[in-house]
Amino acid sequence: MTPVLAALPPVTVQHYLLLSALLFAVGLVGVLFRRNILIVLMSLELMISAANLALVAFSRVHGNLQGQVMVFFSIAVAAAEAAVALSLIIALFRTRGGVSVDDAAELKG
Amino acid sequence: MSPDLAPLAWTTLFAPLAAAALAGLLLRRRRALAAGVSVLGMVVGLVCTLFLLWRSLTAKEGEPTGFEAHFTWVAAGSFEARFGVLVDRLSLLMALVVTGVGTPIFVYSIGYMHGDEGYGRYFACLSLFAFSMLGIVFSTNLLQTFVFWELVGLSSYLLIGFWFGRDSAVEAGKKAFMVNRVGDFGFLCGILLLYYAVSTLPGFRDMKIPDPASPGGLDVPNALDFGHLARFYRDPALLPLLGGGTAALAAVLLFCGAIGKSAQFPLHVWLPDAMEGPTPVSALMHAATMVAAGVYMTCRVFFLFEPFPGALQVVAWIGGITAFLAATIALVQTDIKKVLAYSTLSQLGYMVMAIGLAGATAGMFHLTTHAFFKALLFLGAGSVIHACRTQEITEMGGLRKPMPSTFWTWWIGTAALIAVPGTSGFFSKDEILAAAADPVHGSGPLLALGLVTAGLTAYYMMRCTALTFHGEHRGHGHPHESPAVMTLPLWFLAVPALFVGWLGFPLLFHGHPWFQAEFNVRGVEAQAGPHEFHLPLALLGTGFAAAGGVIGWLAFGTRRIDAAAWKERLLPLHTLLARKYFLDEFYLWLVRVVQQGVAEVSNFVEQNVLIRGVIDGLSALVKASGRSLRELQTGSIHTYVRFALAGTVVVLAWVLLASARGGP
Repeated sequence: MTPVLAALPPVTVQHYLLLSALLFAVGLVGVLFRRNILIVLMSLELMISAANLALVAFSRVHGNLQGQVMVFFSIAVAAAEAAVALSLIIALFRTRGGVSVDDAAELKG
Repeated sequence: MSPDLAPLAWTTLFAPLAAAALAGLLLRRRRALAAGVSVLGMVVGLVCTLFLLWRSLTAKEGEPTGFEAHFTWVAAGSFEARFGVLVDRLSLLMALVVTGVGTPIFVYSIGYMHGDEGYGRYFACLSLFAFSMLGIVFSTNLLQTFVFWELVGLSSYLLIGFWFGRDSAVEAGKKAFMVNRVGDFGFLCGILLLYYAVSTLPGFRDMKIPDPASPGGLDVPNALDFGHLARFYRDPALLPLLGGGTAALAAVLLFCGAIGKSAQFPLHVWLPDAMEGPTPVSALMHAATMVAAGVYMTCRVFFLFEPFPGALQVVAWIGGITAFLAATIALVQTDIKKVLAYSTLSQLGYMVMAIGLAGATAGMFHLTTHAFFKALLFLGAGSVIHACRTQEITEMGGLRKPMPSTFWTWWIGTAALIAVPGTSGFFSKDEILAAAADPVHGSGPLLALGLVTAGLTAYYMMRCTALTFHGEHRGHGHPHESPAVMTLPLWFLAVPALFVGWLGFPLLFHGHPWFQAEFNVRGVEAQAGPHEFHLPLALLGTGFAAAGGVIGWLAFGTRRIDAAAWKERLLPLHTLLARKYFLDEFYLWLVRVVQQGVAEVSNFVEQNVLIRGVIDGLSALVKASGRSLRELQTGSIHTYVRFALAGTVVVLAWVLLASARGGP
């Protein structure tokens, strides 16, 4: 362990959770405010990754593997979701000629 | 008699239905076959009934004279409706009337309806009627009675309006149906009231009733079943549990059904119009059997009336008034079928009056004799109409020579109707007068009404007979006798019209309970009284009838009395009678003014309060809320995400706050 790193305070679970919350907030802001559906999708992936990170951190704290198992499932679902979402985006692009969320806003009261 | 004979009763009931289905569904175009199947259904019923009656009459001392068989038709929770056959002397007597009068009339129809387009339809309807009527006759409970009651109403409607090309027939069918509806409403209310009042009594539910199906077993008390109700009503310990007012009201409401079906005042107006149907139909349904259903039903549930003198009084007076009013109207009618129709009303009034005077035996006896002689008279009238092509007696006359069979059988029927000593009507009418003269149940005014009506009956029958058969022919063409298929049923009916009364003559059969309206199933022994014969009353009744008959004969037979001059002298009275006491006009006024007024007010309330206020208001509220809420649906995905986020935050905050407060 190098002296510089040793001088820093030890990395605890709070740090991981803080990072996870930050990532989640960034993703949420992206989902809320970006117009490009691709970006929105990427922001969603970011939010999922934030949740995964928190799970892995908890797994470490509790000393068992349940959190990590959960994360594997989550990744698998996220991959599937990404595949579906991307194909929807392609379909949207083909019919509307664009990938902005405003291109698909007809369904309103 | 054991329930082993039940298949015979079921056969009697369902043979006409099978005939109706065959004739109506498969044989509409095969005319002869349709008629044959219908007649066969009736004959099968007649044979089975005769066999059952023989077994019942020859039952040994101590052996039951009837039985009951039934199955569960509807079971829903504690409610159970049954369907079955109740065979006792009362139902067998009535079944004998239906099949015994029905068979010759079915045969007669073959000739009368010859060449009619709706031949198959006619026989299908007639068989359907026979089935419905036998359903009432053999019914074991009030609900079954009601179902067949309505079926009888339906077949009556179909046959009155049989010639639906004629407006008057269509109107008459509708009138019969609707007037009956008024009575049936009361009937249904009576059934419901009785069921509610009796079935909720713990004393009734705890009754121990032996089950006829399994010896030694107990049956569940059923407040619709005649046998169970009779047990309850005849138990002096149980009956006081039931409120006297409720029970009497239920009895009177049930009687409303009889008022409608048996055409008693004030619901009698449909019967004279029902003569629009083919004449054999008038003979079978609107003279002999269907209109007697009310009388039969009242006899069947007589135990409901027996403990309540008030209810009996209502029945007796309705009957007495009907007998008198109808007889007075019959005095001036010129349509041969109308004369007979009002005569039927009058005789039905006699029967109902007898029941009200606690003489159910006399009522059923008169029903039986009347069924035969009135069916005979109607078939005779049909034969006359067939020959003359008119129904107006003013256009007939002198038919004695060309139509001997019709003439002689008509005279037999007339003699029975005006109660010439020795004919069947003499014995049954005497018993009714005896019931009216009874010191306990009798009533002086009703006896007077009965005697006067007997005189009026003789007068109008003499008038009708003299104008139709005697004197010179006043119509067109040369009338000739009807074919044998029509005259043979006349002779077939003439025999019982003359002699059936002797069976109830106590001196001859030592009071053998031939026509006793008794209810003796499951050990409930209750006889409405034996037959009796009163010589003074018989003489008095015969005296009144003779006076009426002689006046009628002098006025229209020998023309010693100038009827036209008397008509001028009593013109207002004649108009009142000819217009049937203006009752039809009164009902029309009731519908046009009173009912129409109520309808207009209801319509106004509905249009303005209900529709404009409540319904339009509700829809406006829904529209407005929809209009304001649709703004939330922007179509932009960002809006939805924000809503989801806000919701998540709210739920999260709530959960966290709850857990901070030491929550779940």
